[in-house]
Order: sequence, then structure tokens, then C-alpha cells
Amino acid sequence: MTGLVLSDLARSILHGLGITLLLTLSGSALAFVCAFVFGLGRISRWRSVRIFSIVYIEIFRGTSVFVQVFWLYYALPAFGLLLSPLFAGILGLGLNVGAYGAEVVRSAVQATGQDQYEACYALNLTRYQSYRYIILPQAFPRMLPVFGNNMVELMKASSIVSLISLADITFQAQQFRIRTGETFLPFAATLIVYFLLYLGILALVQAAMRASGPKSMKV
Amino acid sequence: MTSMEPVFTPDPMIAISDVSRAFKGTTVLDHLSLDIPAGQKVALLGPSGSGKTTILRILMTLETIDSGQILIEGVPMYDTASGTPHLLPENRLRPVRSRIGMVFQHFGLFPHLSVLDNIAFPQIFNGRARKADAKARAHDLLKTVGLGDKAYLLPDQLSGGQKQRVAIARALALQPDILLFDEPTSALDPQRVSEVLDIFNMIADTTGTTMLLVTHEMEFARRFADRILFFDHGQIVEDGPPEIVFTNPKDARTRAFLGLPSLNA
Repeated sequence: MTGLVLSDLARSILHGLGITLLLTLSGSALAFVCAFVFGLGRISRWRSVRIFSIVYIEIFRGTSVFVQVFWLYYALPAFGLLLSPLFAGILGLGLNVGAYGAEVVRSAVQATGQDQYEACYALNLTRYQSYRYIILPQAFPRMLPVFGNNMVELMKASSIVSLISLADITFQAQQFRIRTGETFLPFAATLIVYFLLYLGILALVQAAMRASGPKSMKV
Repeated sequence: MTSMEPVFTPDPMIAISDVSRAFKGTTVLDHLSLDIPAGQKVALLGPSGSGKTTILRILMTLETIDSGQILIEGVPMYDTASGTPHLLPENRLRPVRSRIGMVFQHFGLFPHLSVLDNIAFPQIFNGRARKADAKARAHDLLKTVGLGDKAYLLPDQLSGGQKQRVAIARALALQPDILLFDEPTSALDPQRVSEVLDIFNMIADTTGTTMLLVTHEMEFARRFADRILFFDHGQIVEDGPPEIVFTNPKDARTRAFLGLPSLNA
């Protein structure tokens, strides 16, 4: 009996883990892209790009990720846009965390000393060359720890997709509880799995920090 | 005098023409005009806030001017058609700016790149050299400034004087016609100052580069320059060879700055 229950639980959680991992990794990838696009857009030379970036950042930081995912999944169909739960989940999580990431990119870039910009200019580097090879490589290591925190937040927030019928870990744990009446086991398992995911993200960030330390440039 | 042949007068390397600049209402440069012929070694002296560093930053186009014009060998940096000067668009300014190099007071080395890459990188991205040639040239320049064995260190592993020599090598690698130095001796131990002077003289002798430097050190200026400009309140109050400016300046402010007795005393 207990053995059956445990293997049922393990199967459920593993199924859910796949969805949670997919959401976390895809959402983080989208957030990463948004962070750079809108973080640099926020300090663009072009006013329209700056305004667009600020509007995106403030809307997604100023409303809850919960409401954003609900909007994408339940409200957009009213405008003729029907998203799959998975796509709505990735989009909602990625756009939300991307808005926080954009501020991280902006502040890390702006924290780079004025002397670096002036040296680039005096050496006749183009704006692209300056950012790509001088400013961003110095700013990136400053972003990583905060990106790591954001990724953890995204992973934890991913549990809300259980409310748009995506079978992630939280959803599976709920189902298991309803099916078997067990409460302690599924939620203990959920707790442990989320914590292991957290440790995984920590290790990922530390590896990235090691890889992005100062070293000779490869042109 | 009797000849009717036109006399060929080359454009000065730098022509500053009636330039004014104010920051938040404070006049930093006040209708300043100045010609500097090619190959001249000029030291800009004067009290803090007298506008001498601003001149360097304006030549590097890190700052702009409120009125006037600047020409580099006859080529303007500003479009003055509308009455007020506007810096030329980047595509037209680049060829002019690329003739000018600057060594900053705090060097502005790129901390994430090796000493070698600091020097090789700008050459590659200016299209001056391919990677292998740029690195070879960087090695040569490092040997020239006496840092041949530091190529693979990071800038933060160097002393202030060594950083400065890397910054000089980095600017030289782009073969500028004009080199600007902002307070080149301020970060150095006094005993290192003559080393820097040797490097400057070597640059002048081997490349004929026009050099402008801002300094507070009279002795350094005297030994380096063919021409001393003494600034006060955004104007040049003394202009001449060091032996004249330092021993018998005309201007009362220069005399006061140098601790010389007043002329009409």
C-alpha cells in the first residue's frame, strides 16, 4: 500500500517536474532576452524606444504576475488571441521577470564608469563596439547574482500556472492529494523538489560567474 | 617681398577660432583663439578651473563648444551654417577625431582586458590592423614603453606609472597626429616623472606627433614643451617659449602664479 502510494507520488511529481522545468528554463530565456532588449532600450538614444521600454517595464513590474498570466490566458481570447496554457505561462513569467531584469541590465550598464565610455569614444570605437566589447562585458558579472535571484523567483512563481490547468509540480501535488487524501506527503515532496531546483539554479549562476570573470578577450 | 609668387602657408594642425564654452552659466572658455602648428609640443598651465582641461576635452569632442569653430588641419569639426556650432554628424566627424588620441588622467584602461588586448583591440576595431598584426604592434609598443614583460597581466595588476605607459601605448597604436595628455604626472611618483618625459620626447622625435599636455608641474612643462600657454579665466594670458614664460612673463596673473614679483611694483 505505502509502496504503491509512494511510486504514484513519485510518478506524479516527476511529470510535474518536467512542466516546471520547461516553464522555468523557457521563461528565464525569454526574461533574459527581454532584460537586455528593454534594459538597453531604456537608455537608448531614441526617445520613442526609451518610452516604449519604460512603459513595458513599469506595466509588468507594477501588476502581479498572477494577473498577467490570467490576462494572457483568459482575457486575450476576448480579443481573438487564443494562447495555449503552456505558451501563456512562459510568456507571462518571461515578460514579468524580464521587466525586473531590464532594470538590472540598465543599472549595471550605468554603474560602469564614465571613464570607460570616454576611453571608448577617444579610441574611436563605434557605439556597438563599445557596448559589445567594453561596457557589457564589465557590466555582465554585476548582473549575474541578481539574474540568479530573478530566476529563482520565476521558478517559484511558475506554480501559478496550475491555475490555468498546466500540470506542473504544484498541480500534480494537488491532484495527488485529492486522489489519495494524503496531505503531508505531496506537499513535503513539493517542498523538497522546489528546493532542489533552487540549488540547481544557484549552481548554474555560480558556474556562469566563474565563466564570465576577467580574462583575455577573444576577438 | 618683391616676389609675387603666392606664399604657401600650411593650415595649422589645430586651429581654435573664437571658441567660448560655459557650464551652467560659468564661462570656462572666453572667446579663445589659438593656432598650433604640426609637431609642436605645447604645455597648458594655469590654476584649476581656468579651462585648460576643457580645451583637451573639446579637441577630443568629449565636450562641445557654444560658439566658434575648431579646425584640424583645415578640416572643421563643427557645422556653423545655422550660426551656432553643431558637431558634425558621426560619419563625418570620425575621420577627424581618429587623428586625435588622448591619455586620460586616470588612464581609462579596460579592466577586463589584458594589457596586450587593451592596445591591440582599438586597432582591430578601427580597421587599422588584423588581429595578428595588431598584437605584434602592441608587443612592440609595450617594449618601447618598457613593459615588454607585462603583456598578459590585467591593468589592475600594474602600478600607476605602468598603467599610464599602457595608456600611452594604446593611444600611440592608432598613430594619431595629435596626442592629448591630461595631467600626465599627477599619478606618478616624482622619480618616475623623468621616465615619462623620456617617453614623450621619444614620441615627439620618432613620430612628429603634435602634443598638448595639461599639467600643474612647472618643471615638467619647462622640460617638455616648446611652447607654454598660461590660462586664466578661460583665456590665454601668456603664450611663448618656456625660457620666456617662466623667467619674464608679461601678465600679472602669470607672475603671481609663478611667484614672481609684480612688474609695476
